[in-house]
Amino acid sequence: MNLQCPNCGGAVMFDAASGKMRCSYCDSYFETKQFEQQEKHATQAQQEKQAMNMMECNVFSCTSCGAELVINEMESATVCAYCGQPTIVFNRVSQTLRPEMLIPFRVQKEQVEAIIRKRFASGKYIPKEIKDFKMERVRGIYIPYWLYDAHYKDRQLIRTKIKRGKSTVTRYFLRDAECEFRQLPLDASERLNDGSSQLLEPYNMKDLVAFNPSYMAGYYADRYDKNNMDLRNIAYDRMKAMFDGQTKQSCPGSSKTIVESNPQMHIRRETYVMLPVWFMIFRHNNRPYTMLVNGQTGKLIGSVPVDKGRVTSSAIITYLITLILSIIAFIVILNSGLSLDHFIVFNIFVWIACIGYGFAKIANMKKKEALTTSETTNTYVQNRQEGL
Amino acid sequence: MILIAILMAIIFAAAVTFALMASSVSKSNNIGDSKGGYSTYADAPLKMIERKDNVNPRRYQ
Repeated sequence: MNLQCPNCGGAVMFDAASGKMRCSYCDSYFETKQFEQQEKHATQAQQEKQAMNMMECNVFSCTSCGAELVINEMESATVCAYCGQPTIVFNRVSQTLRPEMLIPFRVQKEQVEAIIRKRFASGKYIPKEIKDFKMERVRGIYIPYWLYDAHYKDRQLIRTKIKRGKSTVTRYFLRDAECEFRQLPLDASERLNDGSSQLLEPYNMKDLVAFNPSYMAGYYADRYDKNNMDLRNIAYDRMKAMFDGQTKQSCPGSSKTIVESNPQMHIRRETYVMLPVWFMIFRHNNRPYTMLVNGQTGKLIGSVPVDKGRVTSSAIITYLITLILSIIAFIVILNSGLSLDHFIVFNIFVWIACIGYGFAKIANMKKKEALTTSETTNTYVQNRQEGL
Repeated sequence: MILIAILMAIIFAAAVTFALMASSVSKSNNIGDSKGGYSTYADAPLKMIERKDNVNPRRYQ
């Protein structure tokens, strides 16, 4: 806090030699007591400003997974929105950072039920007990986000390989470009995996309204545990990845590599907002799974367990049919005079392609499952089950 | 020859079944898009300041 000289308004500092306050501009000396009132007023003003940015709320803690949820002081919670257990208890009244804006829930609970039931109905390998889910498990939560407005600039030298007939040549391309990122969202909650929050996008930021606690009635809110400074590196990485993708796309060829770059990012504004998400938690074989629905657009993401019995029976039937058809086809092909060596080589290629495709699909499923199941929640619940 | 055809068919059918089942289960249980929504192309287009093709890298390194 800067103390001001009563004579000229310059900055005043404590002078050890004289034991008094000295103005560095007009060389005036003052007793320290003269500045106590000024300091008191400045501290009060700072506290009032902070108070305007804060709001009072009830904090509920889940004794099963440790999640903390913020609820409007007039509301209460009975079921944890993250792990689905009814082990949520009132913890304390607290102050939390007040968001500047939020997007109100547009998708109602009944619409969420319709979206999820419709999707589950088309899933052949979704267990029946999951298709018969209970709507009590669906919770609307305002997730804290930081929106970044930033200017990003880079001058890049990109190396690519271009085919010229039978040979490949290396070429270099210069790209000097800039980009204005507007309202790039990054979630400020540890509970929501960054990957899954990106999958829930896009949000239409035109629907942002000035924050009012009445919007929170009937919904939970998650507390932010990543502030704007913590997320700057992630914001930079995300902007860089999108920027580099565009500059590489503007160059022909393949195997594109940025060999020289000079990135510069200038953050113009950071806005703390809350965005709506519907959570549906269910358990299967004691493991929590999460379905997420964008509370503004209704976009659904998630993964569900597999009905292993049904998969096994389908696989057996598919295999038997494929085997019979293959035997008939192969006998006909071999009797037609095709070289055995060529036939074997062709088969090896098909085996490799099929196995590679299959594993790629499984890896994609596992990746989605990891994104939509909170690792923190899973680990905590697993540890509790194992008595650690 | 028939034995070779049957042996090849057994392995071929297993590989094809694996691929078909992985695709089918993924379509059934993998819910939602694989990519997020914010993009430089749609939301924050690039503004090119300087663009040169086939440059000599030594001039810029």
